[in-house]
Amino acid sequence: MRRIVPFLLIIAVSALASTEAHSGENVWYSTLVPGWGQVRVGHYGRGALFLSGELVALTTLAVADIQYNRAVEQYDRAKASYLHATYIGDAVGEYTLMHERWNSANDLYGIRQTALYTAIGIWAVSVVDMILFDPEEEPPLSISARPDGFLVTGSFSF
Amino acid sequence: MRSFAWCVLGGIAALCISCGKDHRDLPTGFAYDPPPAPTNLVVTGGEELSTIRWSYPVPDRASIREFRVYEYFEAYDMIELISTTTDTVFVDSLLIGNLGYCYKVSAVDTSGFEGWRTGSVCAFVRSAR
Repeated sequence: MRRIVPFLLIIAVSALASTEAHSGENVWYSTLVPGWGQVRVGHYGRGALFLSGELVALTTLAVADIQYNRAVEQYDRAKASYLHATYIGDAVGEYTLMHERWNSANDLYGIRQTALYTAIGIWAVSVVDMILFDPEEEPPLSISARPDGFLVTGSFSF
Repeated sequence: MRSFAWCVLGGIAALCISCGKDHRDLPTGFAYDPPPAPTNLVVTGGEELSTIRWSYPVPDRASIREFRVYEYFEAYDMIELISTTTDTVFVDSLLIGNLGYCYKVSAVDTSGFEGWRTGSVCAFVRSAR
């Protein structure tokens, strides 16, 4: 988990820099809370989808993380008992228990990682969605069809 | 803005690669090589004592530090270590007569690791006349 934080910070700072450069305020809202920017521009369905998806993913992540940490503690205890066993009968029993605990921890690890990547994915999609489809932002160059040809429009801000 | 989108996706890809397993690797293989269990356990009941004998393969004797003699309480499926010996015979004395006593024996190697215990063998101990 500690390794994830710097990446999230990098992305958040990049989002901030990006929004400052392009004045897309809603991107920053979506960076803070997935779906918030979409709600601000009136895309309530999409915003609710991002927000509820993020909440479900984060809740699953929190529960799975607690259970995973508990499972790792149990695995460490079983491993220590196995490594310190001095009777073959105890060693065999602890070896089996250690395998069961490891499998349990491994399963919970998988659930935790899935929830983590889902949360990050929803957040990233929400931010990218806001960047690409923010109606506040004028495209710098656009082309439209006219009966007598094409109209090319350029815009700039200062 | 598109470059930022690529930055986000690149960051996520790097994140996926950087996340290794947090729980430690499982020890592979069973690391214990126990000494063989004693064989031919015989318990003979006497007057307020019982004599416990067993045999052990001579080639394995060099790696054995001691034998552990346990009293086995059949009703509770519990054992109690009553003595250790380097011999293959042990006399359990000062017993209460007119009762049955059960025993198990195991071998302990020089590294202090105890092998499988034998099955329990019981004998009836008489009262002193």
